[in-house]
Amino acid sequence: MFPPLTNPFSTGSPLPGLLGQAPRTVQPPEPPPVEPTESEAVQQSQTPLLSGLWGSQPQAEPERLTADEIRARAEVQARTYGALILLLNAVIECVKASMTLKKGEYAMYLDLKIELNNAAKQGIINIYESDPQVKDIWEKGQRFDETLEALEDDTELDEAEGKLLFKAIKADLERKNRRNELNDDSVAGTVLKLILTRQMSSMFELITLFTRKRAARS
Amino acid sequence: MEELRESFSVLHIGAKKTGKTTASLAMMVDFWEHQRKPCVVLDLSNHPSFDRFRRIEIEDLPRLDQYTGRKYFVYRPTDPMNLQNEILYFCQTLTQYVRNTVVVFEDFTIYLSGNVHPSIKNMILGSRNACNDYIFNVHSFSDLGPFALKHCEIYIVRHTIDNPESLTTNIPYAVRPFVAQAIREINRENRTVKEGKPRLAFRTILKDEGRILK
Repeated sequence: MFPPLTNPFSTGSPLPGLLGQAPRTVQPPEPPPVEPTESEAVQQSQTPLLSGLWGSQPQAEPERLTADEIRARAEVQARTYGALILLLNAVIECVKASMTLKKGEYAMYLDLKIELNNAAKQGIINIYESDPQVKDIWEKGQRFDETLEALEDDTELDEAEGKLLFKAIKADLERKNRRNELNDDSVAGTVLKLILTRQMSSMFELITLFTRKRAARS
Repeated sequence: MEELRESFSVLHIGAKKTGKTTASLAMMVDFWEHQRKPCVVLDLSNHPSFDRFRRIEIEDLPRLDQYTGRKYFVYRPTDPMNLQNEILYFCQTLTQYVRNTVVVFEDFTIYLSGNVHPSIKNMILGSRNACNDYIFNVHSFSDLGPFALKHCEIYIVRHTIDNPESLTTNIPYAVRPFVAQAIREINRENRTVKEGKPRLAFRTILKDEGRILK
């Protein structure tokens, strides 16, 4: 919250020993009801013209969400929690995929791939078919690449989805602001949601990239 | 059954540059770390030490328990033309709604001099029942009216302009010798400090027990 005390002359708290005992506490009184904000007050004071005819006072209705807002909020929640699970899952998948390769096999596969590309240019195909060991490395490397590519594809977020999520998060923040419920925690929560929902593709790319580099190094 | 600590009000008396604010920060850390009491500062001088505290309004005082994390708060009055009313409203709200909290009144000298306002008197008298600890940072004994000197349980004395040989009669008779002794000791200790350096010596007097804390 604030930097530690750095005054070289500081002799610490002048209440040593007095705070060793647990304090006596009391039950706090009920806080006063929150006064409605200006816009809410105006809303509440507006009575329908015909209300007198029915002899009833209009009740202040709780804020209602539109169907789109509800759907979008549910999507945000699902994405936020889902993203955490998917991230964990991706890490596990990457570790599993890495374990299928022995030391140096992926590096050999990459060399082989380059060699194959060069050979293909010269009209030669399937140079590995004759050697079962080379064939095995080739297949393992391909499986490894496919697994990582599938992971990247699964988590890609298209532009329209991204916009919808951003709108839902923004609407949620605005509603909290109207109700005076906005504090540091909700801002931190929003940032986390944004990171998880908008930057998830980048995070997966990072994980898969790291896994590839590691496999190529070993 | 474990004996529980009763809350207290502290008069923290010292001239400028004697370490009042630094010591207040240290006390607040102690209160939060050892007692889990939220700390609120009424900052009348916009002291930069409290810039990183969570800024609150008076309306937030009854709901401090809704905040999460470390609970260091600061309230800075916003309307200079209505300062006194804002401070009285702050004190009134504390008395009415705030419990189990530590409140530091930074640079509070003028509100404890002469005839103290009934809202502030009520707040000090009700501190024990509300389980609130109050720390009043002020500049000298001679600035204070008798009420605060009579009803605060602890004095933390630092270098002041007060003369230990002719202390104000506002200090309760039984405590005066301890205050005089504390000021003499502080003056002696501060004599060794070089010119221009802060004079940080202090003594803590437990008024009701009639002793200086060693």
